[in-house]
Amino acid sequence: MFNRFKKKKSKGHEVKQKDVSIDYMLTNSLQRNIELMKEIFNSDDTFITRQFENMQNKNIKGCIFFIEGMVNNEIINENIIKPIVISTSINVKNNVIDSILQHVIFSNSVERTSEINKVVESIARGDTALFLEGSGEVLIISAKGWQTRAISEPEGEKVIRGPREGFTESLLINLTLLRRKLITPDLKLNYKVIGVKSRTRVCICYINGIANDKILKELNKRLDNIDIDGIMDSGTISELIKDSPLSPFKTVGSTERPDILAAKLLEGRIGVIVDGTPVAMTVPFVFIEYFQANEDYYINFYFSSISRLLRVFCFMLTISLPAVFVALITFHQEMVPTPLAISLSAARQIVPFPAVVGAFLLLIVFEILRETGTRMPTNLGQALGIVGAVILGQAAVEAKFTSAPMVIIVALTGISGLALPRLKGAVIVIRLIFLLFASFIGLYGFMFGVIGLLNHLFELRSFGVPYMLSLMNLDPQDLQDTSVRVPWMYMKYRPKFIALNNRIRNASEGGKK
Amino acid sequence: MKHVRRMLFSLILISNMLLCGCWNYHDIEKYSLVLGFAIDRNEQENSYLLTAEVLDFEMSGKEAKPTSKLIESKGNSVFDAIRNMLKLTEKRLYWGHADTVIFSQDIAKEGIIPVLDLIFRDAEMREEMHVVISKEKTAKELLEQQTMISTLRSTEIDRILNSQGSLAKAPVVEAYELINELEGEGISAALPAMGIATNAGKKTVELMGTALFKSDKLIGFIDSEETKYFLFVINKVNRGLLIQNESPENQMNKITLEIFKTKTKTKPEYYDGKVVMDIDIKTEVAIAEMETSMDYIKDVNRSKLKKDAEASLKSSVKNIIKKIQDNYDTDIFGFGMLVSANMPSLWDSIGPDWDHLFKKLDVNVNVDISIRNSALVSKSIRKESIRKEN
Repeated sequence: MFNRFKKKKSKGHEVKQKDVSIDYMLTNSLQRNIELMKEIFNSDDTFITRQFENMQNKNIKGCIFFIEGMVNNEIINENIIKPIVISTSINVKNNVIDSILQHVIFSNSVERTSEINKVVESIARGDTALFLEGSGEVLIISAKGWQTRAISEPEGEKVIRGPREGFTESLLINLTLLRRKLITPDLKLNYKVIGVKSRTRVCICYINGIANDKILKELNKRLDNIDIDGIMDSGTISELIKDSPLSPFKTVGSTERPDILAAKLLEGRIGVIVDGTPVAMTVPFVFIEYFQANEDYYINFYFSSISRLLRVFCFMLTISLPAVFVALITFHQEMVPTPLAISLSAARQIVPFPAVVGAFLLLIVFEILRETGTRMPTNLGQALGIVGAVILGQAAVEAKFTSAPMVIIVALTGISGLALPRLKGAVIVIRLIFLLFASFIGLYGFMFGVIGLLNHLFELRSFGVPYMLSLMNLDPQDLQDTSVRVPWMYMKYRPKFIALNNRIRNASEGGKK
Repeated sequence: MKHVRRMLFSLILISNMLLCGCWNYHDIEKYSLVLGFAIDRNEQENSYLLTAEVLDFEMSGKEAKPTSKLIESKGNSVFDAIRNMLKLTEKRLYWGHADTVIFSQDIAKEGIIPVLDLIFRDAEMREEMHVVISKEKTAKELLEQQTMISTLRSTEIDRILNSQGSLAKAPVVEAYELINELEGEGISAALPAMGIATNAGKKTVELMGTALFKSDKLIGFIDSEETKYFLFVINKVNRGLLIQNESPENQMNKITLEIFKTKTKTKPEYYDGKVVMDIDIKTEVAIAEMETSMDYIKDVNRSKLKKDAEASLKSSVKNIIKKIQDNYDTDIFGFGMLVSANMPSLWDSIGPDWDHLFKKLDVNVNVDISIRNSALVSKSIRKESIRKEN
């Protein structure tokens, strides 16, 4: 339904970036090259130029460029400048740059290039560029060194049992975290660069032989189609590549935990790690993944099944409770048991607003509280609690602005919504639509809403995989890991549709039976 | 094609929304809930007097306490009387929660079908409403009496009827069952009767047996004890008590048996041109209370008690059937219906004559009582002297 509104990319609209190679050319003259670089990086005070020459052979002149703060000064001093300055074995007769690369510089990662674009980008990324007199080529030496955040447990995805590491903002650290979980040459990691100005590095990870090639191809195509100036978080990318972009449901998964990403790769999904953000993406993403948590696989299967059923129940509760309540007390009074009808009627005497208006207002108040809670500084939390609980809850009932049952309903709705933080956005929208329907024609309207929601969910696809994967084909093998989780010894297969060829994941028999 | 489909879809959606019967947003507090109502008839004016017990709230501080009020209204028909209530109240009355309706004897004697029609026809009123016949002069008197525990008169009547499961002293009939019985062939209706009694200084409402109908007209009452045996015949006893004298000679010492499970199977038989009803009552009881110190663990005593209990239950059941046959001649047991279900061809020939046949119908009653246990004790409390004797 929502695909329809997707606009086709109009030609002629693209994000522009200056191509330096059109205006500037590297020459053999060091002096010219230095001027050229300074012109490219003009009015950038962090751009450092350092010239030096060999102690014995004054003809061996060099210059390094780097950006202050992004490099490891020790490496530059000890492994680049010092060897070149004091070396006596530089062969001037042949190619100076060859000799320096082979015998002088101590660095594990050096690249030789004559493309000015590449040089500029490498410097901007934190590499050091070494220019030499008489050479049109440049050595790009990796001497990156900046502070990164320590590896810590993600705030949003805490577990009681399970690994505590979470991704950081550094792509390389994230890749090592992933690599340490999957020690196999089948783990493939492909770089891509997205963002014309931000030049954000993105890494597509998958396990060769398990991941579905079609999905991989489609993902690559969609990533290549992105034409944007900058990427600050993987959220932007996921919105740009997701199916049904106007749907409130996610069709691209996200996680901050390497163990989750590794597990998803083992199921045949494909991961995308984006530089500068701790949130990795996984595709395809199906509906049931909203209700799965990594801990479910580590703890006892009875308990994890109960937790999952609870989450599903919470989802149903949070989207339908206000609607059903309003429908019952305004359209279907005969369906309420008599004693309850009496107490509801008692609670609602002299309440000024109709039930539906009260429900809308309270739901909005709850969302305000939630939103304030997320955005405000943590040390103001107590004030929010007092305002929320005492003033808006108790006092509103006492002042007869609203009735106590309505406060209970909205509180229950809100609490069960918080059980599924990842579904938050979709839930708010659906809940209000259901409430609106119910306020027009009661439970009948609510059922319309439910039918519409199911229609939408069953229509959705994520990279060609049906969104309601496990509900579309009621195959016991595929239902093992949905709203319940069976013991590991019975989970022998990877999900259908996602891992097509290599489906057996587990052949262990379990302990003594 | 896509446009047509979309148009069709929205057409179905919109017409569904507009054509459904739910287009009536009404906040619950804008209604007055009717808890129960009584219908009387004014012969002179040829009109109905409807008395409804309506939920009301007593505001004490911030809390609203539920109480009730009576609203009376006259009309040429029941529905007219209901609508006439709008002359008196600001709020619309809501009848979906009314769970008791009381008919006066006058109405019952004239026939209850005319007043039942609205309950059956109206969308708001429930068909599982309890129907009660007032033993007093009017029906509204019952609603005017005080309550014992709850504050709502009709609700209390409803709960009294619901708890008959462990007493078995009144038939509990819901409106739809009554309508089925009125429409059915070979069965007559029997409804619970209620009257005013004074209890602990309060004038209140009490169950007083059963009102008997022939066709849809009231013809008499039987008392609570008789009702129990009537319920045995129609297999409507759930729990209840059987009081047994220790022996015919000793009427003073009584043994109380509690019924745990009972099942009555009634089968019509046809011998020599005569219909005979075979009634098989299988009951499981336990000794619940004893005024004697007889040792009923002993087989001899126990089988004697069993025989006595069987004999007295059998004679009570026979008596009530006889009484109904002789005095009222109305088939409240539904024997005729059983004949028509089991022997349809026979029923075709004798059906028209059933009223006449019922009066002289032979009934075989077989009772099988099994005593399951004697509650928590195996021995009664005994004086020392008796113990020594044994």
